[in-house]
Amino acid sequence: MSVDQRQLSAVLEKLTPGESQMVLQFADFLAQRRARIVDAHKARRKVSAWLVQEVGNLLMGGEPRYVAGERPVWRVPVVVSYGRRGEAACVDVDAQSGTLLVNEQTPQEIISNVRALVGSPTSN
Amino acid sequence: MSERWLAVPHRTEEFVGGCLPACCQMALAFLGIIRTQRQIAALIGHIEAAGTPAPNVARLSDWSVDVHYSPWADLNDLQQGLERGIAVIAFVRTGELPYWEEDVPHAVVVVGMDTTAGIVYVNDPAFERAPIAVPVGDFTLAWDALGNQCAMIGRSIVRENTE
Repeated sequence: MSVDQRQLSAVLEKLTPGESQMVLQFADFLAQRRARIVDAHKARRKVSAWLVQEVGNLLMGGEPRYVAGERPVWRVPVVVSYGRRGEAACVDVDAQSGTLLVNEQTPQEIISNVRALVGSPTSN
Repeated sequence: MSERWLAVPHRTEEFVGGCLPACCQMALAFLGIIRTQRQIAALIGHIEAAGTPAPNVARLSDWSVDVHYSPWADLNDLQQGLERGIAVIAFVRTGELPYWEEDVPHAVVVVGMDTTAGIVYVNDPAFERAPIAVPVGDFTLAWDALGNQCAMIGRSIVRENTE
């Protein structure tokens, strides 16, 4: 255990259970904040721009969902707005680096999903 | 108006999701080239409900026009395009445009700018009236939401020399 860790441990031992809980929550908040360098707005914009450039100009990113984990990501739905409305796929954006997690097959997979969605009699 | 104004003829979209073919039709008509929206859709590879990748607009050069697709541009680029007599198609999110009630990806033709009044004028193929005045702040937000992409369509030097 390093000197810093020993000092921190000594400080935590002097705190009441409620105070310790508060410190731990604050540490967790800082860790979460650090993990999300890219915010939801940027993730959505990045996906929307990529869709228009690489897949189709009638597709747009929807409301991103944060998915925590070893590699936290923003999961952005691909919104179909013309003809039938719905979500055709999701595109992930690395929440730390902002990298789009797509490959060469992703555009064709999205197009296939859009075709399936607009061709489906149950979608609306 | 303190800036250049282009007399781009207005066209409305003839099928659902046909905003980009309609914008291309306007830009071509401005250059004296008449094509149907279906012809344009076929050339640029339009897919129902998905549209077409924006850079595919460059295929219009098959019809002897100069097309420059820009993956990122700014208002100065649009202004310079207008000053050079070039029709600019901008990809926008309608949720940021005050005259729209829906929030969908869309394409419009930028036909004028008044930098003094802070207004961008667009021919919007979803509406009969044209041009439509949009506060520059709203236009910027709408354009930024899809990455500030645009296509500039001008007269081909080869075509000019043969006319």
